[in-house]
Amino acid sequence: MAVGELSRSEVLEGPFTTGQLERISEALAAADAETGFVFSVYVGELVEPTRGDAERLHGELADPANSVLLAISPNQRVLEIVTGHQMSRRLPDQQCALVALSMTSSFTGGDLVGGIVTGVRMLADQSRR
Amino acid sequence: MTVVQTTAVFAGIPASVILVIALLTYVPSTRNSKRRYRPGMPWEFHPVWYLAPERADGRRVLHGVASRPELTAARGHDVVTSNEQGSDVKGGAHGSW
Repeated sequence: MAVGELSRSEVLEGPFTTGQLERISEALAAADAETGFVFSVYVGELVEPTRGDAERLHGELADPANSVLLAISPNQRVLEIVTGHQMSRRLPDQQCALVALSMTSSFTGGDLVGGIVTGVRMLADQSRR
Repeated sequence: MTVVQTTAVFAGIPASVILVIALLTYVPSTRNSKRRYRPGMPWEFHPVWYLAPERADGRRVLHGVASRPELTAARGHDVVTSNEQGSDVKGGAHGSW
């Protein structure tokens, strides 16, 4: 959701501050504009097996074939990157694995937002048209 | 100078400088510590799902919602069948920390 659409209580109860939300929103918008794909970030529980649940969430997007979902579950300490089938040419799995490694390094250090923003930027760079 | 003035100048000024710098150093970290994530710390927030804001050219992008039940309620079926070959093959990666 766009930062301007969140109510004050949603920001206060949510996991991220306004500044952090703005960073995530900016990174997503830039990634969308540079690549033409739809980027999205999910932070929350993933039902086991996590891969299947992440793929199911990815399937609920408007255009799954051209979308990438970064699903992060802080409680289970699991990250799933799911790319649509139109994306695998420009964004092969090996590149995604490198991005996943970079993101988990950030998360281990306690930097959730930094990891998310870095991950989105790295994926956008790899799949730039 | 009197004794009081001497003490104030030679002990008071350095002490107040140290106090100001200490406050500037430690007070911001108390404000941030509530939100700062650490691995292993329980995550008690509702799930959130973010997408980029709708573009200026009016291209429609699905907007994220804050709770998962709303996402699944719209779907009447669990299994997605497709006629296109390989259209349900998804790539990506997995990581854990």
